[in-house]
Amino acid sequence: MLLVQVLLRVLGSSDLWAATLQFGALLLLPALGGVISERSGVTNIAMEGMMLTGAFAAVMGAKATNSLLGGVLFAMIAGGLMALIHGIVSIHLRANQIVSGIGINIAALGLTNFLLFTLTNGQGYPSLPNALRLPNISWGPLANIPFFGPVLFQQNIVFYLAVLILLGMQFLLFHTNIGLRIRAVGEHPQAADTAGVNVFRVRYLCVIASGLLSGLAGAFFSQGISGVFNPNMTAGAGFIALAAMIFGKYIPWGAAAACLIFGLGEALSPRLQDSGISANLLSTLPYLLTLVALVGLVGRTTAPAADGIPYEPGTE
Amino acid sequence: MQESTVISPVIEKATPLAVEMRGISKSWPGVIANDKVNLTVSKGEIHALVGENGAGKSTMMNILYGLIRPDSGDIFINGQKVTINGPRTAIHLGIGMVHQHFMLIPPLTVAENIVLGREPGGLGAAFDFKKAHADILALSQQYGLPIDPDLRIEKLPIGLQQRVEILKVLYRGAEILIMDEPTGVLTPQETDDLFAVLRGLVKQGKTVIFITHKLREVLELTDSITVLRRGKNAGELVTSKTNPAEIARLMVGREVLLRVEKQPANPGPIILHVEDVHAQSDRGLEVLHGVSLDVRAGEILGIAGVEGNGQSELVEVLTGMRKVTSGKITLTNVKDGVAGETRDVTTTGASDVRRAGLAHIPEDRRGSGLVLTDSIADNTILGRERWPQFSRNGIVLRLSDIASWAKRLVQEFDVRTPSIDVPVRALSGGNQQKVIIARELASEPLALVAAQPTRGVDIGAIEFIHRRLIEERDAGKAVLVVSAELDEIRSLSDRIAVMYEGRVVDIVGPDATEEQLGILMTGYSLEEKEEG
Amino acid sequence: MAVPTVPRTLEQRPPEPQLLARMRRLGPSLSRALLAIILAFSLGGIVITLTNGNPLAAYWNMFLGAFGDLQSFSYTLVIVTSLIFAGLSVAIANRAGLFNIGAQGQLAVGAMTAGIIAFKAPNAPGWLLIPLMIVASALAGAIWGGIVGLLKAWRGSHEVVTTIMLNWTAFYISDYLISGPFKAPNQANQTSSLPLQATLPRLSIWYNDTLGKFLPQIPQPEQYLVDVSIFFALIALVVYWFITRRTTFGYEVRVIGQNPKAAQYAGIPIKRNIVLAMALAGAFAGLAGSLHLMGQFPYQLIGTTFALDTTGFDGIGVALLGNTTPLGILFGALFFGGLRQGGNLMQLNTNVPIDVYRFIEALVLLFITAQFLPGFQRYLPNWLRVNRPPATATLAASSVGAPTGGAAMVDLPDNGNNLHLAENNGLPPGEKLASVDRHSDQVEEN
Repeated sequence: MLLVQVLLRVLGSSDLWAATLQFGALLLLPALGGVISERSGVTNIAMEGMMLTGAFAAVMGAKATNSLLGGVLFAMIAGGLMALIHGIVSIHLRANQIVSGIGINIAALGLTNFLLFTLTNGQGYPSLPNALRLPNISWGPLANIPFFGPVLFQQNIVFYLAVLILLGMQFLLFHTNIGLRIRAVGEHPQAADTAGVNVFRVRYLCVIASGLLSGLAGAFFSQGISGVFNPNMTAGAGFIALAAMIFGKYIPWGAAAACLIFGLGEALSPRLQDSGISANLLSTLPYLLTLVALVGLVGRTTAPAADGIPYEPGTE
Repeated sequence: MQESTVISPVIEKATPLAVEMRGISKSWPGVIANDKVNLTVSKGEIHALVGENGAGKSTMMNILYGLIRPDSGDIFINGQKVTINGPRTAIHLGIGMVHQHFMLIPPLTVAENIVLGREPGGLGAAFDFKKAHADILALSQQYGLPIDPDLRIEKLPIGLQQRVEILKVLYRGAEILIMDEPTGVLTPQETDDLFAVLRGLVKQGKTVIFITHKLREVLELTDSITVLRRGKNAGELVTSKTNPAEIARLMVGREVLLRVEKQPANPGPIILHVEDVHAQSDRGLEVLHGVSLDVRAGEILGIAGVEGNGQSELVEVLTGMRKVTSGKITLTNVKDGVAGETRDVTTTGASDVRRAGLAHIPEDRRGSGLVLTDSIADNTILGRERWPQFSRNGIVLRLSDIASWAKRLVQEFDVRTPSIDVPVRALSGGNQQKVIIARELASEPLALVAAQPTRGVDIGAIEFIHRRLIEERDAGKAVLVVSAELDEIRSLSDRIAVMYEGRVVDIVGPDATEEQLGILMTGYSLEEKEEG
Repeated sequence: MAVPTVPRTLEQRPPEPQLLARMRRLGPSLSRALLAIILAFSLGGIVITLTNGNPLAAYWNMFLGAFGDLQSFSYTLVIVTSLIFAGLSVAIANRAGLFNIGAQGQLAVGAMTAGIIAFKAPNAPGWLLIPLMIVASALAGAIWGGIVGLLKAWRGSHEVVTTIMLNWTAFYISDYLISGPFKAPNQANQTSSLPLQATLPRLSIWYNDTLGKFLPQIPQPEQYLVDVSIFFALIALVVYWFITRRTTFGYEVRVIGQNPKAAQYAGIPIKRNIVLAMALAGAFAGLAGSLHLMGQFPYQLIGTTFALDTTGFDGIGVALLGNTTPLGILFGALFFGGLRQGGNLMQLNTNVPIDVYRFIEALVLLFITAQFLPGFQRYLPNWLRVNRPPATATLAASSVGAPTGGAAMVDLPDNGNNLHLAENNGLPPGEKLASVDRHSDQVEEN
């Protein structure tokens, strides 16, 4: 009884939904990165590592350049670089892409902790003054609409960016020539190669894009939401994004829907604590839901046919 | 071995040369694929590039299409020397390739497949469905290749898929078309259609290079021929002035034996009985529509037919690799000509069918028949690892017994290898096949199912394998041979069953002519065709 | 490039002596492992230098910290124990062609199960409790791994995804249990200690109490942290060796992993074996969890440790470094264990932060799965080179078996449009294995 009442009250608050959208956006960026990477045939489970690196680089970069934009750029570049390594190892060096992804994740953890220690001389966790943090944007009169105002029109700038990127990627993948090439490369790289598409280049660009997006998400996390960098602060968010990508069947819209659902779970969890639902158990939801999806109760989720297989040029 | 090194006098080509490849060499560690090979093709002709498996034909064409870079040699297109760095360059020069294994992307549509890489509007644009659609329709009309651009490739039959491949090539403005073994997956009717299309293309000024190892097609379709053997030029011929025997001789280097020496058959009681068997393909469509046949002790039943008419599925059903939806299969134990116990094996799995006495030489030796990274010894017990002589209680392997078994097989079947611990992938194709055959025959089965037993195997091993099959027949086993090579079927079989679209159309004797078999293979019965 | 002279076929070479043949087979995997390690340390050294550290001093201290004296070595062995199990977990799944990155979750489940049993029966005698906990943890891990196998066999779900999902599920459920029903009084995020009889003795103490009665005693045995579970780990290695080399199950699982089509042909039940292999993998990992809990201070379960601990992922490195062989796994475990343990002294003495070891670990993973070895082939002595090109590339001169398209770097399957490595013929995409030998035999065009 109590639970239902609490639930209804919570669900009715705009506060909850604002948090949902915020988490959703945080998850959406790496999820979209995953989508574009896997669509081109490169398995990427390193979103977690790229996000973490981005989060770290955002804070350090913003401090170093004393500019907000500097933080964002550093974050994206850091994410992009990690992705580039993953790309080189996976594409040119034909490695097992799962192992490479795991390596990147561990490297990110080690690197960020290591650099944190050396660059701050062991003095605590760097935080950012408000001036350097990613701001929320208020859309003037729209922000005053009851309920929807705070939910939709007072979000962080990165939220709106994420929405734009979502629309852009959906259009890109399914309505442009570039998108056709990306999908072709992910399904049948030999065919694409013989048709004159540069398989390696497409894959590199997509992997780097996923790094840029994950890095941006990292910046959102440290520079936007929390204002500080803690060791291992992403705490599995990259894996929830991975789950969202799969749950969303490698389609941007689908990933967005999944991110929304998972974001709701994340937002609910602190708000339901008083009524006795364990935050930990709630946190299992994204993963269990994805498992259910995989078992096929929500239809088969199939990755692009050549996903994860290194391409050997020059073969028939 | 006296090898024939006759090379016909160089043909003076009067018309301008569309393609000239001079002195092309390409090798990899341990393999010489092409050794100073020359190729000249005149504009507007259909030129055959002929040779056995591994002769180097596909390598040459992959070089021409830029998929591989040659170690040395020159290429001239329309008289101009060119360097072809990749398919993009080749396409730019007007060369298009229709691959043996289609380069099509199943989940995408015909239109998307065709325009990929040369999309209307260029790289940065949105996908112009309308223009693509219109362009393709125009193209298909011009060259007589009707197709619906919005269908997804995965829904199209093979013949239409090939049509899409050809359209792909024409869409890019190919003037020189390379066809790599295009007829392997086509029915005779579809092959005729293809030939008509090619002739039409040539009339519109295109040049065609046709890779094949089927002599009949060479004679029917082409104007001139280049024969390759073991990576080298073996001869250049004018089609109208040559004959199958000469081409074959150049391909193989000596007289090709078409008939195997054998005694007439003395069939005993039925060992393998197949009654009205139905089965479904992996996609859930019915692929065997009531197959019935019998194989007796001491006879070889050959199954002829174009690949893809259910032969593979029939083999899978018989050997327990595929479930039967209805029908019956039985094995009868026949000893010394006397029928013993009959056992129903309709629903028996592969492991138990083998134990019941049905051995299986699979058509895909590197796929199904062997574990390439395992040693020879390990491969000799594949499928029999739980038999009492190879394992205690079916759990713990008897390693020394297995080793003796392997050594015995290697010796008896003359497998060339320094030891039994060598991984099988190091062996040549012929020796790999011998390992499989040794394994299947040495367990003294009642019946033997051999699918494409000599595919990709050199001449010496082919003779050995044929001889062993006949020996098994003479020892009273029931032998079922499935082969796409009509000559092999006709020379080995005591009776021939022809399959078409999942049914046995007819079972004829060994004297059936190639023409009669061809008629049956297209689904007509012999009487019908005579009337029609 | 001149056309090379026709090399002799394999069949024509004289049979080679056993030892040399063994070395030659070992060569590629050994050289690959060594190369990965050397490169990782080099790159790590560069990073250390860039932050004003001294890499040589750092590495020397790392080595001392891991193997320098008996005490340090005993600390290392603690980690090695878990890593052996983790490595075995990944390795046995790998044999079946599966990629088990769920070892950490399976480990958590195993540890939790053992803990819960101990807490629920705190007064049960040790001789009952300990075997019960061990067996239960193995079973729990087996179930957690078996689910992955079931989903794969029944639904074709990719095990990489399912294991990641199950990992996090395990972590959160563990955290829930630790901070909820099994929380210690006055604590927020940890359980009480295990009852004393449920703990495993230190190796040295156990020795003093048994063999030490006849043989010399070990002075100050408490300083050597390693506990008796190291025995279990070694036994597990032997069990693994036996299963993979001597049983039909090991044979069949290998066939499934190397060539599922051949498994089908042979009538080997693929689904059942996949589930079994994953269950075994889960069992090994579960044992890692429970034995560590029972053998090491603080003998209690602490929240959020599972998510942060990298043992399960290190197991991947161990298995790869050791090429899924028992001896290789042992050495891989020693290497990664030494890395982790040695990091402590390194940080203490040279001020290079301990996280460098994680970085080096990651680099080893990246380098061992990358395939630049083929490019180096030319410069290596013959005995280190890849054995021989694949059968598809045997000489055009002796056999017509060479494929169309020239010596393919990859075996072409008969049907079609998906290019797979020959060994993985028929496996769904994404099933590539990082295991060493299989990749290193491709003839690559450079």
